[in-house]
Amino acid sequence: MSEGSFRDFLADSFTILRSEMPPAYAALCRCLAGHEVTLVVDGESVPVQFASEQALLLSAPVAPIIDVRTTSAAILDLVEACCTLDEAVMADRLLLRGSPRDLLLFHDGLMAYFHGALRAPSFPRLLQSFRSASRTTERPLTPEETG
Amino acid sequence: MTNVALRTAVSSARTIADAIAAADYTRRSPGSIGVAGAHKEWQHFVILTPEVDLLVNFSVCDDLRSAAAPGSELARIVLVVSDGEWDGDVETFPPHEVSVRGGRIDFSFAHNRLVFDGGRFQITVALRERPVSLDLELTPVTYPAHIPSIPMLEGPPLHWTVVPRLLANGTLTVGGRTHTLRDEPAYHDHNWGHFLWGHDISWDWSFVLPEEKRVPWALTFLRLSNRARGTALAQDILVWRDQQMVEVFREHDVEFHTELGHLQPPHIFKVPRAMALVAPERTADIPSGFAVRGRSGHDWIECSCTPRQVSQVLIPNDADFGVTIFNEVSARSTVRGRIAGEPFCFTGRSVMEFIRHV
Repeated sequence: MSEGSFRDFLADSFTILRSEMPPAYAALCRCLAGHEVTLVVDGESVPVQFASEQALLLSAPVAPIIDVRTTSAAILDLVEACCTLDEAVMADRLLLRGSPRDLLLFHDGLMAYFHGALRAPSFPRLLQSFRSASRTTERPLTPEETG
Repeated sequence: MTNVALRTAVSSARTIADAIAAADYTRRSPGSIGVAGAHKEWQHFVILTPEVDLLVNFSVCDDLRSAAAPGSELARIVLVVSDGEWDGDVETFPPHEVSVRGGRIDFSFAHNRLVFDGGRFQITVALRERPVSLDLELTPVTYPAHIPSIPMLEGPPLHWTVVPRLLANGTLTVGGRTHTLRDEPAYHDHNWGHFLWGHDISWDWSFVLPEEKRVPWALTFLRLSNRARGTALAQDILVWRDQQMVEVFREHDVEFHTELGHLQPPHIFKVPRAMALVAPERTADIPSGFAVRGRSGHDWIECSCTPRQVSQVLIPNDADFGVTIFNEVSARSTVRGRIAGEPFCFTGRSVMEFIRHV
């Protein structure tokens, strides 16, 4: 993706979710309330602090307890059902770091996000812009990223 | 063909067309006149050739999402095709691309069209995101059956009109592979009602189209139940001979039997693909064998279905953050029985639909 675009995409998606699918947005925030998650997509880091009623994008990480690293190509493959979440994890295309308890919370929050995204009328247009901005070839995660 | 025979055939075709026009017309949502509800309606077609399984479904459903404008609808085309490879999609159309005429069968979704005219269904579809297009003409060869007021647990009843046997002609192109259809067997039905996906509802439904065109028999059957499938709300087997429906087995005349083992497909094709994010399961609650039996007086019928492959149409629930799964199961079926003293036995192709939930 172009510089900064995943942050923009994520911010727009939270705005859409909050206005068009408030129950899904509420469920996402409820699952991860009090937790900070760092999402790294194509090397771009976006820390998110969750409270009980909102998700706030931070300018820099403070104390993340969950670290998620992937690529826009892997995200689009998930959306196109070319692979499942567990297949992406097993293929090192989706890296998750955190305690098992926190990762389960993240999974529940992610499912709430997906359910909202799949129902929100404006999401297909947002996804289309994400697809257009994404790289056509996948940059594999670096050894530093995979740890 | 003699003049008398020709006149009879033309007259029959016109009469079937009249019957379909009278029973199968699109009802439309009362939302357009300000009545709030959860109206759903679809026109459904399945075409089965030796090489191709094809499902095409035009639907309009009240848009119940909180962000939707009052009275707005979701117009969708579901298309699933297997010609050795799976393809298809669920496409949704914005209101300005949608025209559906109540009182007729006349759908325009952007460049896609479904119309019943001149005694034939004409279907033209070209998917936007997938390399699939079709231009088909389906000629009904049986009279329709109208089954109104099928009870539902949470709301008004469901309605069903079915034309179990048609002949499909035209072309289908999938990924650059063009299939020419000449008098291939097809099935059509039409449902409408007021309910939410996610309600306490499930169904097992199917039809059998004979492999031999000279076989005069065709049938369709349905069991509507609660989600746990512990209580049947309705169960029917409808049997046609030539053009006419000749027997209906209802309720206690009907028994369904499912094998305890499950179908274990190597792969399940899912549409829309993104819904696999929330329904990624590689297994399905589909029995490895399925049978239905009906007996009424001296008439009886037995139909055994052996599932072969399955695709899934995944619909986000209206009622909650669940998913309603339409398992579309291709099967080979064996039918035997005796109706009005006439014994019969034939094999056929089926697509069974098993509604499940996650």
